[in-house]
Amino acid sequence: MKTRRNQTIPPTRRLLAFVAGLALLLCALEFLVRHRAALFEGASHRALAKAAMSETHPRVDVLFLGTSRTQDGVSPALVTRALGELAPALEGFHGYNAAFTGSSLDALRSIAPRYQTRQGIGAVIIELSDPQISNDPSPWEQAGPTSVTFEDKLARQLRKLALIRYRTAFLTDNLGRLPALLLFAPSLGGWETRGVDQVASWLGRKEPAATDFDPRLWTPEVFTPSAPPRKLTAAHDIVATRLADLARSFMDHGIRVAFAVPPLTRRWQPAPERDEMRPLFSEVARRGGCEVWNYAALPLLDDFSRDSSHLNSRGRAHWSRALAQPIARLFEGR
Amino acid sequence: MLFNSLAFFALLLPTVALYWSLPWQKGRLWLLLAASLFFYGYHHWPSVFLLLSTIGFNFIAGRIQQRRQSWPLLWAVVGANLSLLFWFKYAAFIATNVNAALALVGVSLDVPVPPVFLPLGISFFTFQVVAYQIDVHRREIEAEPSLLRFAVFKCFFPQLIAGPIVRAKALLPQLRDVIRFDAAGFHQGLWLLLAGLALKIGVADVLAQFADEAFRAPGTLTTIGAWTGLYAYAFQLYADFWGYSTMAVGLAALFGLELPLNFDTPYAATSLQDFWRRWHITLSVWFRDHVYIPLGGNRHRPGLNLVLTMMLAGLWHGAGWPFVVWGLGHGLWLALERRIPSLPFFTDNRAGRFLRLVLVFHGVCLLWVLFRAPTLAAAGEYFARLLSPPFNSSKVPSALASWLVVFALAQQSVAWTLVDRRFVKLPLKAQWALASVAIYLILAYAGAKVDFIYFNF
Repeated sequence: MKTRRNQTIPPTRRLLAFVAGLALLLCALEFLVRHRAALFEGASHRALAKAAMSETHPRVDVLFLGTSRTQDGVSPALVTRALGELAPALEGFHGYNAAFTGSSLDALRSIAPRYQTRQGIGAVIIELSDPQISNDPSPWEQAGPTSVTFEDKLARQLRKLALIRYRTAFLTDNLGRLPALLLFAPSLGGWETRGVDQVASWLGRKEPAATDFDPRLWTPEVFTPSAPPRKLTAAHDIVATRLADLARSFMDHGIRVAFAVPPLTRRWQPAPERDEMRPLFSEVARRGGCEVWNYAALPLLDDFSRDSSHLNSRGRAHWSRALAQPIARLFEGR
Repeated sequence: MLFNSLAFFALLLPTVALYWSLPWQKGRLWLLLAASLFFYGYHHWPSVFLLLSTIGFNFIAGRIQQRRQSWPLLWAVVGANLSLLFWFKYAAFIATNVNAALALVGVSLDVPVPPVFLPLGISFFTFQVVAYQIDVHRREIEAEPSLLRFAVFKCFFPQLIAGPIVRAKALLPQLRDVIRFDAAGFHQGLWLLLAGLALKIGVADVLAQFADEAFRAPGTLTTIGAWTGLYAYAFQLYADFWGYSTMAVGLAALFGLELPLNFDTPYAATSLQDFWRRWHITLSVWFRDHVYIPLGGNRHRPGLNLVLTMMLAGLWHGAGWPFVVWGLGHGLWLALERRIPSLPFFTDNRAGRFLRLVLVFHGVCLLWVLFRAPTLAAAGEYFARLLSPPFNSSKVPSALASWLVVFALAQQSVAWTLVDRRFVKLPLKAQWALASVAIYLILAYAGAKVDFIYFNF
């Protein structure tokens, strides 16, 4: 019936109605994306999503940056709870875990200004690990084509449309971030990547603290700024300089900085963080003028981790508790 | 220039607008010719001279053939066209193999290996003009008297690079008539363009990531990983070439011209013969008419003719032994199917047809390994992971699984809208809904800009 009615409309009018309908739809979408640009920008990349979610928190005192090792391994609520116990002056501090899977040095440098300009951040703990320095830059941090072909010029013009600029928000994986951005963000600490954990945090569930915490097992190897100069490979030399620059850029905004090397399981032998990366840690501390806490050297039991480099919930509780100690020292050293 | 590039659309929109604003046919043809040459020369302008010289040569040869109807002339012209293809596509392959064969018997002749350079679309436009010359010789068509029309027929940009291989009798008469704007055809053309682009960007390029990963290191795959990687490649190849062909037909429709569709849900085939009636239809028809039938067709040694035809089809796809073995596999299977048209346990009910469909699909998939693997050794390694122990499993990425399932289920419905202007006949709301899905896929997944696979052939 409808088809018959459709056929009675002259073809030219049908064509015009089809094109006009699509144009209207695209205009409406452009308006929506432009209107909620921050939301769609946040959904377009996990790093931006974390940054957007952190901005829904009224206060962030301690910020964690890094890869999935830090994302899975640090519960900011447990860190700040322990901070309050260790130093009453630090009670009521709030933390946020802005680490994200696949983070790279370029990604860190790109996202850093967003946190540096935010008021109130007292300290930033940056992951220093093999993936953090070796991961490829993700598409998000590539600022755009540098060549000046006709195609590039067209692409630059098209990016003036919000729909195009934030179009990666529409990828099916990224669309999944919208609920977190729209609903759960203020109640999330940043480690909750699974929907069930996000909902649980939103409903007010608190992560259990480590009950059998043994500080002797969780004392990191510390590299200080007074470390003697070490000779590095050419690649590590570049990395050390870039990390030191990154640390200084935070310090320039009055933010304390420390680098943390996440724990690994004992099974992973040899791990780069235990062996050939130690001179790099020393140089980062020296050039950056900040400490490097190496937890990779710990003889960690397997039941703290879900695989060789990612902590499970028990490991998260313990490492979060362990991190509170040097973080408290970082604040007390003001 | 890629159909999925911004530069292409920047060329297309003013060309379409100018085309329909020109009141006279000759002006439109000149515009199509200029746009086609620009399209072809965008990435490598010297190739335009190759294209122009084959146009000039074949136009004159066709005119002479029209008067003389000479077998030697036909052989000479076909030979000249094929020698170009042979030089650019196969000379390096042959020289390398000759050197290797001579080295085996202890002779070191060192036949110089020419540098590999394949002008875009040479396999397609060579086959198109060979068919033209044969059709003129057979008196199936008149040699085209207008150089302009012939040039547009030869290098009409929607079909220049990767087909469909349009026969002269299908396209030239359309160029002779004054083309009038047909809103319904234009409307259907827009949908074909959108659907084709969505197939390329939203399906083929997404699946390509999984297929490339699987074929990069087959030795590390589990059995499940190898099969899912192969499924990803099977559907990537299909969506890629189906998408390109659909865009080509849609683009032609925007200029008021009709090109044949190249695909008809090939993975729904219940026999290999059925598959080749649905996959790359214009190429299958070309090989049937210009190789299989002249070899003797069904009348004389049909099994051998099938094997030879399919081996040549394999070689057409690429200068490499895996392609030859791929063609041999198809040829042997077709010959076997001819001898045993239906096995007794396949009843012709729904279950029997479904079982045949599943078997044909998996047989075709297994042969795609040869199509994708860079060498026979790599193909062997992939076959080992598919078919030999240890049979182990691994988690299938959920994105891959959902993409494969959705595409496998949706392809039939999408294909339905592409023919007989069915899309235009749908209610407007349904048209908008379908177009929105296509736009969503294009918008979200554009950026990978992987070349169309058939550009390599």
